[in-house]
Amino acid sequence: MKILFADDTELHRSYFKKSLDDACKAKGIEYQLLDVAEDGKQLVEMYLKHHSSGVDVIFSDIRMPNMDGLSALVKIHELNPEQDVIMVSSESADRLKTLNVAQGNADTGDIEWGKKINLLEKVADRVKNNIVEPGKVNLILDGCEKLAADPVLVAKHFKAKGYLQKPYDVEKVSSVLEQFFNKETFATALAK
Amino acid sequence: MKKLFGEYLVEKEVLSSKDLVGCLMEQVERLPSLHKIIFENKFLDEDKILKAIAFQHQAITDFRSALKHYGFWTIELESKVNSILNQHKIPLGKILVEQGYLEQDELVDHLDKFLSEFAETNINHKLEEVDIKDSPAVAAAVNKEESEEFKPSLAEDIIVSDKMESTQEEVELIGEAVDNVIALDQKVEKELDFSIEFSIIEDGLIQDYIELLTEDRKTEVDNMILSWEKLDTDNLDIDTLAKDFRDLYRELHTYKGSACFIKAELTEKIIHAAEEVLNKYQTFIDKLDSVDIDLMISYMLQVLDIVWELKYIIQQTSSEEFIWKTEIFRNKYTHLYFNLQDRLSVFEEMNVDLDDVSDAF
Repeated sequence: MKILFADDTELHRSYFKKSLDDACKAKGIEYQLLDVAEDGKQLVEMYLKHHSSGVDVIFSDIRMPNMDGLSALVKIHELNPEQDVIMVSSESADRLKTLNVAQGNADTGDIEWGKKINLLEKVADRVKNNIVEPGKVNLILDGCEKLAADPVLVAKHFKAKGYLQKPYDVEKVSSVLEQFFNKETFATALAK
Repeated sequence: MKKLFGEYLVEKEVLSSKDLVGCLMEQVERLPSLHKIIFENKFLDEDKILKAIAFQHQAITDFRSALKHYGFWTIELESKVNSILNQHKIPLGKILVEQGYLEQDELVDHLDKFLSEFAETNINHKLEEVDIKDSPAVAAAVNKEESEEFKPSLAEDIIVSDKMESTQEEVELIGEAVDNVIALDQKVEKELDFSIEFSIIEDGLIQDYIELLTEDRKTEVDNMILSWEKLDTDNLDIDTLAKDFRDLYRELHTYKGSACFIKAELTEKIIHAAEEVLNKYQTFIDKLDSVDIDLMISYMLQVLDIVWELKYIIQQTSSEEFIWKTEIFRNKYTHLYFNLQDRLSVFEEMNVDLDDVSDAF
């Protein structure tokens, strides 16, 4: 399994690597951590470098400087719509509800969800085309904040493959990998 | 007459008077000078500072008097300087531990006993804002130009003074303002909406955590928050403030993530509460007024103070549990937590007006 990973905090990167290593050893999965990025821009550059030789899954933090994980997700899917990306964060505003919605079990409860998504699609267009318009929202996470839109649900809209909630631990990484291999619609591992 | 914690320790023969004076002098010495505070924070421009310094030397007086002479020393400036001094104040308790007079658990033990014996008496005295011009402790700290002969009498002033300021500093483990002493008198009746499971944190994890939460980092973030005091709320620079909010959110998010790893639940929960408020501020940034900004400054500074206090305790005891047993800290934490919840509830009634924001997309 070939993996790319992005997180802006050195401490968190080391925790992920350890959790991934322990989880893969426990499940007998051979893996190769191709590269580790510190922000969304680096992640996209690393994807460009590695994708021709195949990347099985990308784990990306949502909140990162320079380019957030949601914008990186959109950019990567512009290059390869089939690329599997699992988002990571410690977003936890309404865990169960988000999980339910992400798995298609309930609606967002936000009557303007459709309109918000339409606005975020405009941002996504700019991200895909590398356009930075002064005075406009040019990154998707910024758009989420402006619209009070749940970043995890927005990630699912933009075809993320799952969500892993920090803190990283062996159990959660194992669970997400298992769901991913079982081709679950939206693999999730939340903190208890 | 109010009993001071330092006096109490001397009476109980925990310390000698000489040791106490030494610690109190250390406390004063570690405050930054008035020149440094005003210059580094750009509270006055260089011309005014130079003018005041020139007068100071001509009139052989202290810097604060020189500022007053020209009318530069305003209530606003005094408040800003006090705010910086409060950030740099090292509580007596911390100095006692640092200099090896007491172990941390001994300090807490004595503090508990002191508060049980004397808290009611002390709190019944009116809590006034410390007037910097009447405070010998702060006056000496900010006017290092004053002659050496002031220092011995300063020590006596601190020990025998009736000023609440010294009492506050002495009763706090890790530095807070008047609110914390008031909190003793305000029993928090609501319970937290989460339960806490304390754990002993591995040394290796603690070291990583400590290296993340450095004093320099805190100062940088504090200064960013304090810069919001200068905002013109009638003419808000939304872009700059939005960037600051994003930077602060990411900073808090990093601390929270790290706190989660080491299972520092108190830290994680208070940061999460702060994040939720900050999130709302980001969403409704163009609707903020001066009260919103002032509250944000106050709460975020308090959150950072608490996070660093908890870090300190984790460093000393490998757990958050120890400080949670201290009523002062527990009340302070709970008070702040509920203040953040209240702030959040103000915004939760509001909806994003998509017509308002759609132009930005």
